[in-house]
Amino acid sequence: MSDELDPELSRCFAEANQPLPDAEFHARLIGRLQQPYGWSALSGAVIRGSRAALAGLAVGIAAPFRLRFGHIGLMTVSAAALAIWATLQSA
Amino acid sequence: MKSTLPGAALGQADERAVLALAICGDAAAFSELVRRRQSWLRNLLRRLCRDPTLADDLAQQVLLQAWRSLRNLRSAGAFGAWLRRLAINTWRTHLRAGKAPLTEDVDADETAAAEPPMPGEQLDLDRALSRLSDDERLCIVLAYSEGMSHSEISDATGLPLGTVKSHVKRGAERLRTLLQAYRPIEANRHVR
Repeated sequence: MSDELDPELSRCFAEANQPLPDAEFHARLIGRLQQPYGWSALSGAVIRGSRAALAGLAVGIAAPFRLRFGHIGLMTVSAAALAIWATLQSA
Repeated sequence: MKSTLPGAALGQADERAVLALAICGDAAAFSELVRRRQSWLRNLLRRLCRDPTLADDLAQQVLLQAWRSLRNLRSAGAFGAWLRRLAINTWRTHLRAGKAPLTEDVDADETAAAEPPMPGEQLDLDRALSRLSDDERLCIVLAYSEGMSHSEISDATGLPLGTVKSHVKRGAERLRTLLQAYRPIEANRHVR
């Protein structure tokens, strides 16, 4: 199939693409361009950072409850060994 | 908004020169680019999403994004194509977000047969376009409004070439059927 276009439809599109008044559109855009982009970027970064910190805390709190029984035993033994070693060091 | 060129000179300068200034952060030069391109960009988005208010909002988003990423533009000659691609991506992002239904969920053939235009209703290309699927409409608008070839549309949209050809062919047929429903009114207007 070639790229040939229907001339009737081409005419419809050409008629629809009229120049549009630009004053209001242009003024609105320039107003948005002059807004301090830094503030919105900074506030976005603070929000994203806060969310990440809260997510990290939630994961940290929830993680021990998700451990398997064998891992809990291993951690208990390691903690006991560490406590004994620390006690012996301080004695 | 200050520029390295006076306003009158900016208004008459070649687009590549204006673009070079805008890339260096000259906001007045970018404003001049907006003045030159806004009508084309808004018309393109109006064809794609029918609603003029939404089209203007999307056009504003496109131009703000263009201002922030103008340094990524590789060639001054590619500015129009780059802006068009930004517009297509912005429109598609809007569609994915599902912010507003842009396609009227009506079968074209059924509509043409069951809903003859009301007396006084005029030819409305955008309304007819809104009856096409999103991809069909995109391909038709890029072919007929932007004068792009099938392979250029395929490059710009990421759609396979065969799909583009099929969308343009089928979309044009459906559009013709829809627009024919308005012709009696046009004819009557000419008789008067």
